[in-house]
Amino acid sequence: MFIFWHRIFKSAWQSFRRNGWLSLVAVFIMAQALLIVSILASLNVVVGSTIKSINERIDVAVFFKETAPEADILLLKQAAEGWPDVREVTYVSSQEALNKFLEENRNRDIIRSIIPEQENFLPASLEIKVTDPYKIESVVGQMRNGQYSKLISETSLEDNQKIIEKLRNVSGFIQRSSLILAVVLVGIALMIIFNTIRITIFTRRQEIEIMKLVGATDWYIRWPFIIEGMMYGVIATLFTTVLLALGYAVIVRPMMTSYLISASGNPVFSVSFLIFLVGLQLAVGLVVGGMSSYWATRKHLSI
Amino acid sequence: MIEFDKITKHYGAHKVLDSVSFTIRPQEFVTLVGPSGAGKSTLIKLLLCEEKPTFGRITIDGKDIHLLKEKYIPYYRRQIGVVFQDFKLLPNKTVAENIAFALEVSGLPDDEIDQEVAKILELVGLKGRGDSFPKELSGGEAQRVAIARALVFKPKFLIADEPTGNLDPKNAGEIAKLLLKINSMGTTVLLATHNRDIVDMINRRVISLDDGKVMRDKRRGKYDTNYNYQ
Repeated sequence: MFIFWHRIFKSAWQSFRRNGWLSLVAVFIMAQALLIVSILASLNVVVGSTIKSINERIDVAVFFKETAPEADILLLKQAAEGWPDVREVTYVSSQEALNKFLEENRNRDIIRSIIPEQENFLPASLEIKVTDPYKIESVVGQMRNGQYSKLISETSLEDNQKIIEKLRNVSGFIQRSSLILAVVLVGIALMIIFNTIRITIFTRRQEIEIMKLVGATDWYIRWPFIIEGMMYGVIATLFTTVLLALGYAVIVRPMMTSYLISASGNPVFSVSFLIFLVGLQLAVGLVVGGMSSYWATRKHLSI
Repeated sequence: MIEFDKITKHYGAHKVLDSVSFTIRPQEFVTLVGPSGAGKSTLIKLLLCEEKPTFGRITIDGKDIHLLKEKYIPYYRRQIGVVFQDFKLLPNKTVAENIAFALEVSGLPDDEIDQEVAKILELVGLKGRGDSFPKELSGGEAQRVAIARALVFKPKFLIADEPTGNLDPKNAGEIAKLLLKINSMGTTVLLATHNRDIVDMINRRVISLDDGKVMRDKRRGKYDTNYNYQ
């Protein structure tokens, strides 16, 4: 068994080396396909974080009547935090709302001059963030129909309905189009790899015929081709990793420092993501390289 | 003993072989002659299990080779040496590696392979050319490598399909001599050719094929000038 695998690997490496240009072209094309896959994965992360940040901005405020006791509002907050669709509930007391308002308008003297100094005219509220922007209506409905419904004066949902609708549409559109783009481009990348390997094996179909006539079994012929296909994948991955590292240093990092791509201050491209990217390419290269060789040799082995 | 028993082969409506029957005895040298399209190459393809006959059977020592399961065909082919007109050498392997490949597939250890390859290279007169690649060889040399590869298994039976077709007369003559030498060492040889000089030089049993039928079978024959074999 050892001698079998030793010969298979030796033969694969020998043919990779001696087919020089053919191997180089195959590696180069495969690297381009893997680059498409990596760029797509990176784009997916950017899209994901963009959608996340859009969704984070979609929230609803529930305002309470002046008479509503704080203890009851806090009980409602506690209850709402237990609802499955609710991500976060923040209590903003009447005083906090006023402080915030004054802070936000500290340079607007006209506004400051018309509001009463002592009397607080702002209601207490609960600011609710949901897990899924489409759940906002049901969460608000749940509050309005619950035991504390009498305490509620109004919600921001009525005013913000159109903006929420728009944000939801944008995020849905980005999600759908990035998925379609991903499917199409990954499909193209896989086809490129498969066809490249098919062509390299097609140019060597006579070798397969000779090996068969000399009495080699199908697997003895096929394995070196499969391993060669996988070698294209490994070398192409090394190549694209260098390119990606360069791209990261030259393009992504400056964009990140200028907050062009980032979600709530967290870096989008972490080291673990880059390791994932290399792993992804390696997996695609090995699996697709090997499988393509398997399929491509099948046709020529039937003599 | 190889027996061709009423071998018929159709490709669609076209009949390439029509009830061909003859027997090759052990250690015999048989020359198969006939014009292009006579069915020589088809007969050899059938013998190598590349194709199956439409009717009839080919038996070796009583066993029908076309009843072999597909997975046993590689092992069957290792018992037969084959030489082709276009040499069929692996272009990215050296002379020694081409010959060694035939032994590697059977799982022989490296040291034994090296010994066998050295011996066979000497037999075909290519000692010292082991590290050359096929593209660096002349036609005659390439055909010697092909013969060496066919012989390295020590097969009982060697098939040569137009082995001199791509060679000049001098090299063709030398290949014929080499085949005779191999036959004298105990290997049965089936040579398909339409080279008149070679047939006359070998002067052994000649089977003439034309239009898919056996026209003549002479125990010790010369080229039949009644046919235009070109």
